[in-house]
Amino acid sequence: MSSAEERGKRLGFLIATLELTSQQREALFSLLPEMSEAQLEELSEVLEASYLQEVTKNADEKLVGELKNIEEKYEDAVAQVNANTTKELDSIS
Amino acid sequence: MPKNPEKFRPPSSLEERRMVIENLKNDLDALTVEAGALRKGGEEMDGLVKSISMLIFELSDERGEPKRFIKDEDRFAKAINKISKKIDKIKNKLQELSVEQPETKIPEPQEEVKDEIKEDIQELETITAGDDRESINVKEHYNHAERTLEELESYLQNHNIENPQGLSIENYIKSLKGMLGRMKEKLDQKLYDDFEEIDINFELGVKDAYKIFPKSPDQVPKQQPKEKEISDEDLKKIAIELGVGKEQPEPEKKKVAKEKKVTVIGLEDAEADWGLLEEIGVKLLSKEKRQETNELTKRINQILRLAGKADRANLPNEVEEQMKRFEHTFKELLSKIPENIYKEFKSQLAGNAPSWEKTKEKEKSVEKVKEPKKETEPVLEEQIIEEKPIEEEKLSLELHPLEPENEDVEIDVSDLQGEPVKPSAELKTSEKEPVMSGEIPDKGIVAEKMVKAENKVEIIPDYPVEVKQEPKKGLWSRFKEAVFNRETKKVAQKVSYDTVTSVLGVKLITDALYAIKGKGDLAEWWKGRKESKGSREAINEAYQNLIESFEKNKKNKTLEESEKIVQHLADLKTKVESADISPEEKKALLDRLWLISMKHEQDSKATAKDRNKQVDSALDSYIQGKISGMKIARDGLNFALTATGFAMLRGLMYAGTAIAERAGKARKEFDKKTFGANEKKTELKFVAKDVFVNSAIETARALTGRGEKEGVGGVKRTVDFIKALGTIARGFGIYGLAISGTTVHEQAIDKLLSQLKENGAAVTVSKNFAEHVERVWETYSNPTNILGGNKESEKPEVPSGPEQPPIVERPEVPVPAEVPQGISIDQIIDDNKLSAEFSDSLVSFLKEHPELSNKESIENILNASKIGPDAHSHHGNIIKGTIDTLDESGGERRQVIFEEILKHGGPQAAANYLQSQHFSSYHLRHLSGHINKGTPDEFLKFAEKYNTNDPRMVSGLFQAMQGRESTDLANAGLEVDAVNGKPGIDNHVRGKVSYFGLEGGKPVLSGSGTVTVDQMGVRGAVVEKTVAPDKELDLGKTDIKESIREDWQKMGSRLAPQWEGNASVQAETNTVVPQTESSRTEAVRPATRVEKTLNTYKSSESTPVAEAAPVVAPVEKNIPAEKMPAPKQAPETNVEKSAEKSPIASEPHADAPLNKFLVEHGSNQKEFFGNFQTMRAAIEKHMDSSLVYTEGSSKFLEEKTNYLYGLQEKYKSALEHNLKLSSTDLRQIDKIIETEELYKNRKDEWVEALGKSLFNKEDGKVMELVFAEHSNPDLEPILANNSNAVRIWDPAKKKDVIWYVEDTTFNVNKNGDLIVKDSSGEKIMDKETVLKLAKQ
Repeated sequence: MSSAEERGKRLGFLIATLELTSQQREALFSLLPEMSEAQLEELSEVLEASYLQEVTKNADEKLVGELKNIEEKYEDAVAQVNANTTKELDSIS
Repeated sequence: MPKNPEKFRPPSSLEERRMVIENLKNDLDALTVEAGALRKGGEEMDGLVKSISMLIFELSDERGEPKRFIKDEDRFAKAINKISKKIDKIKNKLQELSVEQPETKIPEPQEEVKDEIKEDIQELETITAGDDRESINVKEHYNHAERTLEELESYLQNHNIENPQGLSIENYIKSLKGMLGRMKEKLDQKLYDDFEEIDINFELGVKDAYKIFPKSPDQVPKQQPKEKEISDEDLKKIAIELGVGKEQPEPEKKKVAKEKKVTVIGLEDAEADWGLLEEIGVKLLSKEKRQETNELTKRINQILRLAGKADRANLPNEVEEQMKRFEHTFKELLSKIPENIYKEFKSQLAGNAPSWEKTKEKEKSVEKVKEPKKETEPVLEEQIIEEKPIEEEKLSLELHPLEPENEDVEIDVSDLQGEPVKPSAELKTSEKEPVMSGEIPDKGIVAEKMVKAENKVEIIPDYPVEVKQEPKKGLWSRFKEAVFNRETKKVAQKVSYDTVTSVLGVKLITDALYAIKGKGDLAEWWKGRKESKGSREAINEAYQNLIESFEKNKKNKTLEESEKIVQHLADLKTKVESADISPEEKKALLDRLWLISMKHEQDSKATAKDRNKQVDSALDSYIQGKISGMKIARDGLNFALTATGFAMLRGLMYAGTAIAERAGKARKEFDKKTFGANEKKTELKFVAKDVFVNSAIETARALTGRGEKEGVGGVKRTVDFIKALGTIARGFGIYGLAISGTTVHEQAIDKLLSQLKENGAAVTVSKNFAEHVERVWETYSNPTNILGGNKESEKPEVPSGPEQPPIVERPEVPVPAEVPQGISIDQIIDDNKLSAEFSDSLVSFLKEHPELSNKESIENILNASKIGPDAHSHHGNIIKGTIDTLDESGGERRQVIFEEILKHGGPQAAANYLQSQHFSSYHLRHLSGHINKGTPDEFLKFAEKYNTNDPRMVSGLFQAMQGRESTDLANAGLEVDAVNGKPGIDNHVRGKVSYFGLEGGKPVLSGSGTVTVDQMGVRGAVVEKTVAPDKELDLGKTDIKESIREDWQKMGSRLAPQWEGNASVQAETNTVVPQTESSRTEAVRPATRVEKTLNTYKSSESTPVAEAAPVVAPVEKNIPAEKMPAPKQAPETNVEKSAEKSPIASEPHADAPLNKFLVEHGSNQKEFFGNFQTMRAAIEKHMDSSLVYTEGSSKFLEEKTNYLYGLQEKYKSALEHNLKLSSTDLRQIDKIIETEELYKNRKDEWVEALGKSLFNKEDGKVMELVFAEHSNPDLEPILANNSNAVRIWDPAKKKDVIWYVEDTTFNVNKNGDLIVKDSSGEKIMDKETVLKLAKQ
């Protein structure tokens, strides 16, 4: 993606994926000409990041699930260690 | 543990060395248990185990992580060798002890062990020299403690003081001695952390002793102050020096000064600073906070140790790590320290001079502080009051409030990390709220304690510096500046995620996007890790937060319990140490406790470590998955925006304003705005920007279905800028965007973007983002929608004139980063001469799988789509033969796609692809062992484990994919089994064809060949005759014969279910089946033939020629070879219809015993395996097409089909490896050959024969039932044959439910009801009941 046309399409696509009201969208359109090329690029990057974040959100949810699972297993293991130690202590007291 | 310690050479990676240590620990665990079991005679063992455990612990730090010295190969090797030898020695000893009588006395074991431990320690000290620099300080601490105890003891003995609390002096001394003993022990063991803990307790104990047994100043022997020690008095002095206290009256001040030397003022070197600050921390904390203090002390010591090793290559990282830990610990600690001291601490850490030095320079201000309120005596912290002698309470000290005019007297604001200092309330001197010693004001406020002459203490809380603003430059930053070199700073800057709001959010992606700019591959970027360090750390931090919150939410009882146990162990130790029991008993108890404690600690650490590893792994896979997902999404975006369908582009690009026109418009606008300025560069730049903007607006409008509104091309500029900005900000959920009317537009937009970056647009954009995106995509991929718009939209301008030709050229395939740019789908399409429909399907497919938009993948897929004599499986070593049918081609293509996705998109994407195949249980049988129920997890595991060198995996996947294709073809009516006398339909490929699946129920083809859909007729005979081998056939003819024979067999297999019903038909015609040269008989047997061609599909622009008349005359198959049509008529007729290709052994194994046996029995390896495979396929296909399984029957039949597969593989392996077969095997093979003969000759008995030759009697009967044809299901809904299974017609599914129950037999009575017989007797059931039961 290098031409202005292509970059514009990309930005347009990304804007289209935003759930904005028509008023907000028009406002955004009105601002675009005010932006420098660098700002347009920056806006594209931010929106792209958001877009990618959204479409990969499942991975986040999966991670949270996995971490919770790990923690639960960890707790079980700690409980086992505690139980063993308590048993040992009981044997001498 | 290394197997041969003598020759042990350390592995090269740190991870492997970590494993070595881990293994050693495991060995030690086992030994500990064994030693414990031999306790009676094994005291020596305990000692040895203890000695080894100490050695191993010396290899790890307090977190169980290997110490740094293990990076040194020689030192590591030496240490491991030493430990390994010791472990061997223990094992030998254990062996000896285990055979010895329990009564066996070991002469003076304790002394031996002690000596051994001492030796070990000495040796390890040599090994780890340089890492234990603190040992000297610790020894000094110990010596000091020893002297202190002697003095205390002497004092208490010399002054027969009455015990005010009823405590026994003797016991008290005993307890302190016990602590001293433990300190010595820890010192000997080099367990310095433990030592420190006891040391602190000891010091507090001594202090308590002096408090419990009060002394007059002249009676108290002066304690020898430790180096850098600071007394309570010192603290007061510091308070004065800091400008927060009031100077005490001169005479009293002198009196105090005489008592103890102040050694802390004027910090001259860094180490002294640390010592001082540590002491401040320690002193200011109450006993309850001791644990954190100890932790802090440890952290500081670790950092100091590191600081002393500036030559270490990895120093920055190590220091960084330690600092992080320190910072964490210290943050907790600081929250409990009076803020004034905290500020001073931070100021000094930042490298500023102590405030007292500034104070001297600002005497005037100091004077102001000293003047007021002589009547009150502020005290720094209540512990000081608590511990100081009564005389000291007469001191007139005062904490002065931080009044505005004194701001400069306090710590320099710039040193306080930018914290603004608010003027405090005026100091109050209320006497109404006496506060007893021990009460601590909340919130870390600066408490002012007024000690009145009459010893009443009063706390007046004040909030002079209630400032919690974010510092400009934090402690951490200053730390880094002080310690890090330039390079490290760079890293540190990346770590500072000032814009991170959620690591599991936008930042990672933003970083990734920045990182890959111009670099290509996200995955590579991640692998490099250098740039990912920041993200990784931030993720870890986020993880910690997550866990913390998780633990808080759960109010983690288990971990609380764990802490209690640790505390309990410590209490027990103390109790035992001070218990009035014999030294022997005490030692035994302490030893036992030590072992339990050690085990508990070790297990806890191992558990935590295990958890951390899992977390690491989860994070890694998350990051990989996330990045992989991002890559796919990003590539998809690129793909759609550049290539997709060009249909799209046509719609978008040419439905609106063309580039040239836009540029023209833009130029005019520019001219207007610039009043004729014509600097070319500027103009071009402007034009480019305008095209950018206009293209964006146009695209967005088109995709949101709103069409083109006014302003495009010159966007309406009358919108109030600020208002627009506010509207957008609200749209993104950004509030409080401080933009004034005077703000320059560019700056205002910068602010908006900055806020957007921080907030992450996606977070505030849409709750239904996925659906929304889907809608956009849908719109995007359907130009009609765009062109048509909706009611609100305006119809886009239709371009006209020569400037806007409706270009139909194919766009470039937007290839992912790893694919060289410039690969054009056009080129690929041209090179392969693909038809239009094939190309469209391919492009469409690539849109769905952008990860495959690279030349290699596309070409592999195209190769896999080929059908014909030159087409082979890409796993030719496993899947033999040519690809000459649609279903084979489908299997091959799907398998290649799977492998390509796996390669370019990773296991998850490949698993998703598998799941999208919607395999039936029949298909999944081929993947049994890997995939049983077809759950996402199973698919993922399969993808992760998939190995192209594993024949079973490869062939299984191929067969499953082929089955899937076959089912699709059947659903599209391209192949239909003959049922109840109705003729079957089959498809045949003629010529060279590439096949890309079905589109609208029709095959997507390319190439010059055709695919016909033919109605098949069956004629059969049961006559056999012996003929002489056909020696006249040349090789080519032989091939044709072979091919046709196989065709027949395979076609026959497809028709297998109909054998009973079509028996009469089969008898009508006799045709000769060509045999191989090795055959001694030439069978005259039933034939199938193409009765008429229903449809012909041809790959060309004008295809398909659906519903066309047959283009090829029906091909009579199964005719004698010599009567075969010349190759012109039928050489390209590849009507091989095997349900599967199989791994068939080839000729090279002619000398194998199995091959010889086969030849001797009238077969050969190719025929044997080919027929076997075909029979298997027939069985499975029949089962799939005519049966509905219940749980029991599914399991039973799966076992049988697996058994057949295993048998086939077993014999194949025997062939390939020239193995000699057992007589049982040979008998079985003989039976299989007989069955094959029946099968080849269309004898219905082949199923029964197969059942008898391969299965036991009962199972054989079930198989027979399975294969029976259900000719009249409406009249006879139940089929049973006194086996363990029954078939019941399910009219809804038009199939038989097969019900299998072990130990139960099923029969049908005259009324057609089912007789169910089991151990409980017989029951009669009607069809409905049976069906209901079977389905349960």
